[in-house]
Amino acid sequence: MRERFSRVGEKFENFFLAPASPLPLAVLRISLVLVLLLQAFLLRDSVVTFLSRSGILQGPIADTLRMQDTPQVGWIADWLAPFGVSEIQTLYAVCFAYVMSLLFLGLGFFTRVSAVTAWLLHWTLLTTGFSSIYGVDLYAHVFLFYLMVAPCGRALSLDAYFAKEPLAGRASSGARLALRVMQLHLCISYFASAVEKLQGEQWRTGEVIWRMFSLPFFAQFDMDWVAHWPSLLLLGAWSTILLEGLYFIFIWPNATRRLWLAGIVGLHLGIAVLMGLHLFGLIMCAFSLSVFAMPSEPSVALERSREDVTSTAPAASF
Amino acid sequence: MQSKVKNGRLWIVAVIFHLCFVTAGAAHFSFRDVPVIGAALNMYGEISGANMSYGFFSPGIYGQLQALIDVYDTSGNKTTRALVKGENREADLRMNDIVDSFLEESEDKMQFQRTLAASLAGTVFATEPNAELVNVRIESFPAISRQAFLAGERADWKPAYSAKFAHKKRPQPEAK
Repeated sequence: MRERFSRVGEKFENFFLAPASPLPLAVLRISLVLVLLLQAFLLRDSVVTFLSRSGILQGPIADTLRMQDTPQVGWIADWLAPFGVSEIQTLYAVCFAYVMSLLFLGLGFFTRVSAVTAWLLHWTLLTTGFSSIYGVDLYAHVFLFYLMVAPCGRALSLDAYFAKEPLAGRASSGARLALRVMQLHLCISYFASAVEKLQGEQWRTGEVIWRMFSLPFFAQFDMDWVAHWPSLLLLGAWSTILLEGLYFIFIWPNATRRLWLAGIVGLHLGIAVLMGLHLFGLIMCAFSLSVFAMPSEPSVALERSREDVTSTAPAASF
Repeated sequence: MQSKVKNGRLWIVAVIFHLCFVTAGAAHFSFRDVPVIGAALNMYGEISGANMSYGFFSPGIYGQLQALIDVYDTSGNKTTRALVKGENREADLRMNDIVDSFLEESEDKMQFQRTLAASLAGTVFATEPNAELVNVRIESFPAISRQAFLAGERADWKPAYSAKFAHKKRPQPEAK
């Protein structure tokens, strides 16, 4: 009995700590940064509108709709005001610093510092414009938090290049642990999303898909014809529920992973195209593909060659 | 060379603790009311994003709102613009979120709506010196069921809220 427990404990520990390649984390780092840079580019003309006290939300309503007790651009503006720096100047300076931190993070240059800076500035901008955020911002906040702690700069980075480490990085337990947290987080989020959908009658009957297409804001194409195909609506709703709800089961075995990844990517691309949620679709595809499609098992041959190169380098730590 | 994490088991405990947070957040559990450490736990949830819930488009879709702003200039001419312009999808998604907050339940909903409408009007007065009167209109578009659609029913925009704001310093023009 004791031996069995010990074996289970060992498997459990291996699940979380068996050395893994940092490559999936690096791919996640780069893809997340690309999506956030694209978002920053698309919103370059809306900075004042959504984030300034003189933007679309003015006066007391701005404070009511903003998150309390979390960093705000307004705080920094208040600190800098005695030095003659205006709120708008502060806002643009914060946005510039945010974009620079993303660039550094994407390149893997001073990765840890740039990850912390990107996370903090993203959080500051997110809470400042809290009334106008949506899923893409919340998921980005979660994964930037993970990137602060994860050894995501150990591969495909300038840090690795200057440290004369191979660009594919060295396997470490820290990489495995970080990868597991992100994988399990995705499993929990998809499962929760499916459970919430199941509670709605519109989802169970497929009606929700019809209604989505019928609203002017989400309708990207004329989809009136779909009203005559209730089975298609049912299929759309239930395939979403099943893909999300069973993600935590079928994403793990090698035999079903590709199928499930294809389904999830198809779902998010469908949402992106049919509902106009482009960045949300991109970011969700990036998460699943990075942490589940990228090989994380360290190659013995590759490791041997790395040992030759990095025998004097300090051991990676989480 | 493969490196092992220092204090591996402690990290596993930390990870499990964090994932419990994620699960609690997904189940809409708030730590805010937990005695003594509630505020700290809540802040951890904010910092890490672990307090996030995932009920996108759940339990269903019931309609949408749009904000229209009528601007009357000094000559009494009226121009109408929509807050969601349809030029930049990413900006529109965010603007739509702000318009949706008109529906938010609050202790004093009418006052909240009035303040929000005043804020929207304020942006017009700030950018258009000729604006004398601004009418903020919120319209709702109720989603109709598939069966109702097949029976010939069609949804349309309906007035849901309206508030007028006049520039304090100038005399109010007569609306056309």
